[in-house]
Amino acid sequence: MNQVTTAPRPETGEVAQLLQRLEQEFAGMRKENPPDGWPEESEHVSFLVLSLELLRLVGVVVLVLLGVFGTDGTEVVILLVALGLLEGGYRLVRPLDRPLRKKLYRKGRFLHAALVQGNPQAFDPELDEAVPGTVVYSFDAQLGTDPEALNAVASRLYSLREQDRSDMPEEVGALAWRLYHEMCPNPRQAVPASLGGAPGTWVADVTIHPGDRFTALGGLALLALPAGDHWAGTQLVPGAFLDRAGV
Amino acid sequence: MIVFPAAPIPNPAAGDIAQVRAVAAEMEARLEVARSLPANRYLGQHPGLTAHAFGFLLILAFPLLACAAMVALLFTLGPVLWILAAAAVLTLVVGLLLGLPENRRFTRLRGEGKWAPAVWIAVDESAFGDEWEDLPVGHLIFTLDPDLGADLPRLVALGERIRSERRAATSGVVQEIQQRIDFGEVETPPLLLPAEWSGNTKTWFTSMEFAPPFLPDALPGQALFFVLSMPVPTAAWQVALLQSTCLWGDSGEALAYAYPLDAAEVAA
Repeated sequence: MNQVTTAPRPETGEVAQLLQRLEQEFAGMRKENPPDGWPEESEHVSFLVLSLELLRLVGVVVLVLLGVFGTDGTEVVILLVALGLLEGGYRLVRPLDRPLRKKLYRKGRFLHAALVQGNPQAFDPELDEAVPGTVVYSFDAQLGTDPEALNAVASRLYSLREQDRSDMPEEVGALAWRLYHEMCPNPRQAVPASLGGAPGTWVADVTIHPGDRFTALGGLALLALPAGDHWAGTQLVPGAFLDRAGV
Repeated sequence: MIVFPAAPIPNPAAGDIAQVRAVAAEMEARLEVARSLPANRYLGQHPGLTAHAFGFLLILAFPLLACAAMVALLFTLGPVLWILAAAAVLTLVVGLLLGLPENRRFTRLRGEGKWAPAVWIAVDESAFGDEWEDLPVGHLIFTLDPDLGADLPRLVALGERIRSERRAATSGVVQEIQQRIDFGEVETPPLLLPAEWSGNTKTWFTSMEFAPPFLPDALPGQALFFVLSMPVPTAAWQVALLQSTCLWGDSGEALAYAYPLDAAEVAA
């Protein structure tokens, strides 16, 4: 993977304005999963999951029809028991990231991010398939809106890749190993203060889709949940949405 | 706690035992990472519902029967409803049970398998072309012995010896190997190589189908590659190719590239 650098040096206030524009544009889409124009990033959804979702739907329709036609209640009880069993089965087999994605769209915050490393094809206009990348971002009010400081943290992280990890503190060594092995998606990891991270500063793996791009300020925009370390709690804002928000 | 190897090894020398051990440690660590990541990424496609053909057909029937049972509920509480409901449950349970052994094998090998260096003995010629209808079969030796596994020149030389002797079929073991190659057997358990050849009792010959497009660039144009094996493999399924370059890393690929192999040398 290569490090992809970005040129412009925007002001802190400009970043805050850009994020506010994204929040405003997204306000009406928070209940969609995925929101209109956002890629579906969930893990492979098996036939069984789809079947159980279909059955749940059919069950509700039958329940309504039973209500319309009137019954002595036995059918309703049987159907409710069946739906309960289906729900239990569904919770067993559904991909774990699905509910988290839903939460991300409902409660996630828009943040500025710096690219630490990305597939060499990342952001290439000719790109025709999704490729992985690693970003750094911060919920800290100061660092999170200071692109230059965030880029400096990204550069520091990237420089760890090829270094000897034997003398590194464990949390730094783990970050260096993660960037070196390039396998993903890993859980997101906190950036220690020794690398310039403020509390709430994270390294996360993202998927870069065709059409994704940097913002007008030269950084990346992403949606992230403040809590938890699951990889599905972070998603790059698609290029089409940046176009729509005019950023 | 994340276990990570000490340092990158940019250009490991294939003949340097200490460096090869370091690369082996890195590849083991990569395996651990792959195990911790979501399924289907680096350790092959999980068979899942399609593990058993008939079982999958039964699972396909499940939503249809369950839908029919729910609709039947609108009209009757009689035998039709209970037969449909029972059939729906049965198709699902039996379908899942039929696929269970294959899924358990997959999970066990991916979860408990050990990294092992391997050397091609013979490969179907189709593996070297761009077009193939059936998956080509590859025949290989691999070792779980830490000393032979780190002494790659000796392992590659052992492979060369078997390749050169197999057509002459001078001994019982070589005859057995040649027979397996001739018949393209992929279901037969791995064959333990004599200790006088390998210097240990942890080196085996085995055969498997493989998909060249999903292999690192180095395969099968290189003699050396890497597999995942149960600690004591007793069945064919207990050995699988490590296909993803992410599991090899640059240093693993560098080792493989140290031993180029001419297609004619391994034509089955």
